[in-house]
Amino acid sequence: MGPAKTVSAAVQSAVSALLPELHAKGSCEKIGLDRRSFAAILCDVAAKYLPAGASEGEVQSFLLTLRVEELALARACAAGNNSAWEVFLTRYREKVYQSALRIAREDSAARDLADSLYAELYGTNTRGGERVSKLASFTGRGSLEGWLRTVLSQEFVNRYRRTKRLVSLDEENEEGERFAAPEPEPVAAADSRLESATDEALATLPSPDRLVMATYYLDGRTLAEVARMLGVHESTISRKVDKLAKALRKKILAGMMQRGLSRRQAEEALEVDVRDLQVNIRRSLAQDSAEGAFSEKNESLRVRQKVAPRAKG
Amino acid sequence: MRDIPKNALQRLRKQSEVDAHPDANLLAAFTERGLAEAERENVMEHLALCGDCRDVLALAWPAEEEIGASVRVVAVRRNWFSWPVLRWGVVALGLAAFAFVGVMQYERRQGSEAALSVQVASNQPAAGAAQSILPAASAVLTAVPETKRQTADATEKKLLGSHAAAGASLKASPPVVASAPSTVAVDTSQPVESAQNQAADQLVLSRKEQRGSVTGADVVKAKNPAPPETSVSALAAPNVPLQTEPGLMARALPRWAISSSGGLQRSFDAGRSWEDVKVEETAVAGLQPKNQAGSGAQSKNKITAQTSPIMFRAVAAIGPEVWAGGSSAMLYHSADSGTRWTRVFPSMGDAVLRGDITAIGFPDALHGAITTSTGEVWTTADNGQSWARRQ
Repeated sequence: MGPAKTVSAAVQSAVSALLPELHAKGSCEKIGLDRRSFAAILCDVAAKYLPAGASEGEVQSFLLTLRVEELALARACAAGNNSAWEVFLTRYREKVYQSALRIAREDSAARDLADSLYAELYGTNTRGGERVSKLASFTGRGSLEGWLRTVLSQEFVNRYRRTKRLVSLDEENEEGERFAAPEPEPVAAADSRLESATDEALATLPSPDRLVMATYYLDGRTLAEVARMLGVHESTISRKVDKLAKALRKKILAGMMQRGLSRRQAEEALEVDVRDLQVNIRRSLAQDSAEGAFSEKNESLRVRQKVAPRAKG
Repeated sequence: MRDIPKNALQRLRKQSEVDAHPDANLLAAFTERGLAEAERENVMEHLALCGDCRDVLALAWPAEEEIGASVRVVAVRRNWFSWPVLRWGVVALGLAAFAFVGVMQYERRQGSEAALSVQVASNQPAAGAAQSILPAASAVLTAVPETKRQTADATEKKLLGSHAAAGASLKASPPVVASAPSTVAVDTSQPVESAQNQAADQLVLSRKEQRGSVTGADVVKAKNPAPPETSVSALAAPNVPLQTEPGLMARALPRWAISSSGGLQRSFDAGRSWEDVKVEETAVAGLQPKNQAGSGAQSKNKITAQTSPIMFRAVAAIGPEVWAGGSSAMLYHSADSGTRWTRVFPSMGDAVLRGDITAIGFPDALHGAITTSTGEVWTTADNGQSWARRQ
């Protein structure tokens, strides 16, 4: 961690005001976290997330959204407090292993993953002679359980970025398919007007919509998975995807017509493209999912895109 | 139609330039909806472009988990009330009638002695055990305390239809008087269906309890002198043939854990999935120490028990016996793996357990120790019936 941000006066007074309440709420006593240490932690967290000019009231509201009990526990563990560790292990040991198993899907990889997480949590890594625990970076914005799962997932993705995707995704994706060369387009070339209309349509999408599209279409997640990731109900996502697909179609059609195509021509161009899509979509998704976001596959796609307009012209 | 133009798909892929990944705190808070609007926007912007981070979230929050857990809980409830009722309802009714006749005989022969022995038995350490020993008969016996209890509070009356109330009412009511037989006779004119359901429910539960209350039963037998013992065991007799029923017995002992928000959770599949356990007092605590006022205090506890959410800190389980403790001296005990709970108030003389409970240890079903945030240590050697504070 870099040098601590200087703590503004507003933050300091907000922390002082709420300290007794938060210290008690966080049960800091029993895990050996005194008021001063906890105050320092709270200042640290507030300074990290709030803009410099935040008012005391804003800081106070922010502090009240934190999960102080988990924050206190995590930081007390990071400081090496034994009773904190006892509590932590009682609550989370099983869950960490089970999450690792669910992520890695295989026993030895799961143990490996869980063990490496514990190594990081206990702070067996030293930095400049001082033991550093990953728990020191927990800030109480989300639940500790959620944080642990996220950390496990990040570790997993980092380790097995290439090969993992074949294991963790559903078997409906064709496993192990990689191309040496880009696949030739069945349709001779995408109409450049279609392309630019598509670009335009996508550019107008707000980020939540783009996220849903990327998760559902690119990553090939199920509606339930998308909903879970975004913290909404599955039916919300279902409606959203339907709406988005329809709206996208409409926008692309409108864009093409703006560029001079008649309605029928536009529809035909789109229709051809969509039919093509039926044949290729699973394959494309599988291919794409098999690689990382920045891998040679995307390179080959960009090549294809460059090739296509040229072939047309 | 949900398909989008392939062209659009390609374009989506193209937009994969990625800047700094949000850390685990932000990602977790994002999914748990703990971010402010602006922060959420930023994270979404990143996620729309970054497949790796999307993968991280998908791994950390798989869809099956939630669905699986809720399905499990629903399935369990269905098992309880549909299958046993249908299949065993008739048998239960017959046995209930048989037990009723038996009870009537005993009541007439032994009068208040039998009733008192029932009362004594019900005050034994393992309250669950007492309940299980009188399952079929308790359907009938609920009639007795119901009419006797004038001072009973409304909440206890509400519970009468259920198994739990049978045991609870036996404990809470004043000693049953010899005029019981007549009252019993009157109340058996209940409609057939409700008695059938009651009995079936109670049998369902009693079977569960029986699995878990072996030690309690032994203790009961050991503590009772001969005559009550025979009456107790005679009452237990009708229940014996039903122990062979499969299905319900197959439910394994769960693992216990405390969730990050202080809720109690259990897992029946060795930790693969967890369900939240709602801890509500389903029976007035018969384990209350004597120095608390009788039914008045009990009713107060029942009403106020759930006004503030319980933050659990520690849980210990020995077989189906579960002890869970948390903030504000909340201590709950279940003898059936968390189906029903009673609140427990450890006390010794004038001293009462105070503070947050931070640790519970029960090496066996009888002996346990509870530690609190104020440094108190309370121990019991009789499964929570009486407590001593270590000085």
